[in-house]
Amino acid sequence: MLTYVVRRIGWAVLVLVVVSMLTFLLGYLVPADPARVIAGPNAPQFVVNTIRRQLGLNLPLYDQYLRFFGHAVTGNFGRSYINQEEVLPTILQRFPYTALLAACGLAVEFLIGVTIGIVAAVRRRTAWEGISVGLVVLGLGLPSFWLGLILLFLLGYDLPIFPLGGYHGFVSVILPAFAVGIPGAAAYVRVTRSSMLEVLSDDYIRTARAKGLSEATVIVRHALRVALKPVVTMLGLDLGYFLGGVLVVEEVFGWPGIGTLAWQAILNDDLPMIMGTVMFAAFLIVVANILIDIAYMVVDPRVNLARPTYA
Amino acid sequence: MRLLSTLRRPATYVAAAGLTLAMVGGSAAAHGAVKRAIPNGGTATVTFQSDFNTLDPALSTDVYSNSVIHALFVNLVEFEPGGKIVPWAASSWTVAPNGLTYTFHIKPGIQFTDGEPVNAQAFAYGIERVLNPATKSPGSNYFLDVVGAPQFAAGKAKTVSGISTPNASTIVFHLIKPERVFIDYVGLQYGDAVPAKAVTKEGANFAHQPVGDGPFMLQTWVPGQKLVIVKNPKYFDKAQAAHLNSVVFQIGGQSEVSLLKAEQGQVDVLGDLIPPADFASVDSNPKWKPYVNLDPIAADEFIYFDEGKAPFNNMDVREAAYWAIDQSRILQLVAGQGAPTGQIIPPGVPGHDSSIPNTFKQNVALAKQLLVKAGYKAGTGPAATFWVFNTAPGPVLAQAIQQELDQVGFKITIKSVPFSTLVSQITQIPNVQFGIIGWVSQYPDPVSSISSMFETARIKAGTDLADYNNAAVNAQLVKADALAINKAVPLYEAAQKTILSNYPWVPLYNQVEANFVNPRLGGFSQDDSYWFDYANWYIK
Repeated sequence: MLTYVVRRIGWAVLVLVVVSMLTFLLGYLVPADPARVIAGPNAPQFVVNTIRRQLGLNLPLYDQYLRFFGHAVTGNFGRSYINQEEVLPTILQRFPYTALLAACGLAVEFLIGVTIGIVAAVRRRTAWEGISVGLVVLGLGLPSFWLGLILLFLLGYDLPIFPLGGYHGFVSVILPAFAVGIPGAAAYVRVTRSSMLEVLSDDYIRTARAKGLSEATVIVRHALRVALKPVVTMLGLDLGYFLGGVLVVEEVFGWPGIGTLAWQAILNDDLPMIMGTVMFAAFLIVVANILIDIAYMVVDPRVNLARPTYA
Repeated sequence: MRLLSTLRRPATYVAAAGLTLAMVGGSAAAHGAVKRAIPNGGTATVTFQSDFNTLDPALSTDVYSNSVIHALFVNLVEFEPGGKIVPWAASSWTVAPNGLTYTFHIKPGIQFTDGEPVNAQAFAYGIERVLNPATKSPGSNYFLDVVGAPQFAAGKAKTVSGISTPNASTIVFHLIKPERVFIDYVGLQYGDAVPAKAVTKEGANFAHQPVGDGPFMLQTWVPGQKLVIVKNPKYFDKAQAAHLNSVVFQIGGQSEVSLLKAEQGQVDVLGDLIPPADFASVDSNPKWKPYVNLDPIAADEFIYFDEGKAPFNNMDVREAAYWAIDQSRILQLVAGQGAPTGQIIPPGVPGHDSSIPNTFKQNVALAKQLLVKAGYKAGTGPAATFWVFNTAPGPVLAQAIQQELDQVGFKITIKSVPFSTLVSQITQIPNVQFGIIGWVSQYPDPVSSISSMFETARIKAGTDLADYNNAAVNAQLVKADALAINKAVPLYEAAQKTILSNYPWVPLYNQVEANFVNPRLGGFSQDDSYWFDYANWYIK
């Protein structure tokens, strides 16, 4: 296990380095001059040149990247070109809001998706299966930003039950969590249903029923634990993705998370903040993947990802 | 889309230097005006889609940040509605007859909220800090005509020799050349006094933990969420103190959602204005009509052509493009948030010429004839790329303009880009053939409206978007810049007529700011210098 973890961490570092290089290169290729943006359109050229020198923007690309990398490994992502804030503390200050939204969004995805998926699997060839399929199609087709605006209008404006965006305590997270979770739940319905159908046809389930166990016990205690394995994988991937900032939903709801921070950085060509938010998101996704794989091995001893398998 | 005199983008307005701003419209009294008996107390709430970039006067370029900075800091002088410059921290000032020396006398008893005195040294420190290359201030160019400033800004001198403080209540500026607008420059945010001790202690964090001397002080700033300013009990002018106890800024969220909040009464003012797509429905709704506040401002929206590169180096091509445009349709697309104009200098700015018609009628036949005269086959024309900000109403206007130009034979490609990219591109002369942009004057002088856009030296500076290079006009403008305004106006008027006859621009409209303001709020107005003047607001 330890060897596996160390190997995975090694690969994770390589992934992060490649992500940083690609992001840096893309930022460099954008036809905008950060020194000019900082100096303003009326500043004389020598002021722009001075700023360019101060920020190291006159150095060759590889030199700029190496300077960035050298500081980044110590946790120093520099300061925002636009507001001079330190990048990493700014991201960490926004992170709890994104984490809250991510956790609640995942809960919505899981609870709605898994519940409907189980019902669809257990109630095959009934109206329940038809309803669940319909909900999947609807959920997959709903853009989260549209759903967010509809929820805000109906439940924040028409019936003012929830706040109209922003963070005003825990009640503020409910609507954005549903805006994130409902489209995602559709995928969980499909995976849960197909996984449950597979498990329910296994011999050990037949044995459990033959022993006289109640259907509820068969489903919850025997089938679900195995059927949820792919769902756990999806949860892990979604966790990493959400923790990097659900940009669209955060923008719609004015949620003060990393997503809105990243969006403003992109609009302003604020390369230090872009690098910081992208690297932070990449780090979380990589860590989430590693943790999910380790969790697999802990939960199911039959799974040993450290040992290569042969066909 | 507004360029800060400023370039101005719809979602985030950037105030740029150099443009003269005539404040027109509005009903609020400035600090220098006589105040009625106005109730004190209460809190007003304002929404902004984007967070403030900074509250450091030396670093601010956007109008949102400037509006709060104006509430937190005091200048030597202030702009009143209508363009008058009045004393603020200065009790008076004199200008030497040769225009090379400005002497300001500062009122006693002004202090920052940390107790540090606001005196001549504080103003000198603030302006030197703007010029200091380490500050990376976008406002340094405003003070480069002070003796010794270019050397200091280039890092070749330790102080600015042209700023002197013979005593604590007197500050003197010696200029390299006469500059009528220097008095305007000291009224901008870059002319604020700042406390040296707090700046030294906070360093870069001063931008988020400012210590000021204005009618308000910062209480709290939760980045991305909320900023609150409260009445400053130490403000030096009790008669002109703020009326509100506090102003709460709610940050983030879509502008359409902010409008819903305003309709529910949760918000008093939309910092980002009424979303263009919602303006018609709001304005025509009898329930919301009393909430709609229209303030014309000294800002131009125009199409510019780069005369230095093909195809617009040919005047016939520029004129053809001019006559192909349907100005009335453009105004329809901005849904009444623009007043038609046919000239460069906006209404309210000295030099605005009422003899120039505000409207022009599309003439497709003439446009086609001009293209033939330029050497193109009948019904054809050149290909060109049209640059525009990618926020409303830019893309919509760009599509309309593309259709109108394609109709006469042009082949137009639209390049819709974020603000930062556009600023970089348009200030690099060879890069942009033509585009549409807005230009806001931040102070009431024609230097900001016309000189900064058409003097030859501005080509290299990047603000002469048309790459306009006319020696006679340049001489007129440079001469006018140094004269008293009443003598300068005829020169500006003559220069403007000549410029317009060369078709470097298609002037479209002057911007009208459409806001949604809760009727309980009094003293509201909107202008180009300060965007909002929170010290004038009160709860009725």
